[in-house]
Amino acid sequence: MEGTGFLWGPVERDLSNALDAASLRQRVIAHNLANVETPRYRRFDVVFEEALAAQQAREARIKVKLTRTHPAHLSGAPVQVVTPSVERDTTSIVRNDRSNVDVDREMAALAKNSLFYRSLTRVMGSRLMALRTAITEGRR
Amino acid sequence: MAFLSGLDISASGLTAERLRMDLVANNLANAYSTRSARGGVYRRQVPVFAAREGTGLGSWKRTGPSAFSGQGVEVVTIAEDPAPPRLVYDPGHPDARPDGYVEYPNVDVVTEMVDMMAASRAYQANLAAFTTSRDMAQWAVDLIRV
Repeated sequence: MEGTGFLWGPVERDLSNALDAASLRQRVIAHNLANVETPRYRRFDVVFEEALAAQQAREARIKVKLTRTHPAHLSGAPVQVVTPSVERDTTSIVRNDRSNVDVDREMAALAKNSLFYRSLTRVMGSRLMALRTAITEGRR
Repeated sequence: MAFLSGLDISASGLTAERLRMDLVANNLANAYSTRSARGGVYRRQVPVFAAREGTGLGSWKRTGPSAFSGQGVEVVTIAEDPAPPRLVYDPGHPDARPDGYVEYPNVDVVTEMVDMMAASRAYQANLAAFTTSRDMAQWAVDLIRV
């Protein structure tokens, strides 16, 4: 999603970006769990939070910031959407069958990711609700 | 329906584990079958799993949500355990060899029970992932009802 219209601002952009990352991570965890009994399988990992933190650190390092009186003005820092990436995990300990899927770890990641997704959809929902309140002029 | 592909991935795991469970049941049922359709003694059957992933150079190295090509697991083939048959001395058995030994299947009941438990646990894990994917899709759909 691009642009900063009145419906779709930077917060919505970040939210939908994080939702994309969470649904990608769900697919990756499901794939790891489907292959829990596949010999020589190496698990996948989604890298998102680290990339997001690095991007924010880069933006914080920019000392000179331009004053913006309009969302279309240049901020001095290019708005960059952090895309999640999928990487093969070759570091963790390998089991007897040469696979490195740890069911406990995947189930914990599954629970964490679904809570993360739930909170994202809640926030997105409340923002859409606020929009509806504005459109209906406070009436429901 | 890209946002529902997590369900397909988990379903492939469920199918694979259920097939493994079927094979365990078949092995246990035939633990004493001295004859088979192909002739000779029954041999223990094992599934061969392989990860279903896009191949090609760097197919998983591209970044972005659409780059991940994992599609779960697939059963490549059902193989026969090459271990030798169990020999029991029983000259009165109709399938006894000239030396008096009967070839019984290379099915070890303890191994099958362990396999059964592992398949059952793996099935549960895939079912949990399936349920979670379904919930997440439901939450996303709920957004349009706000």
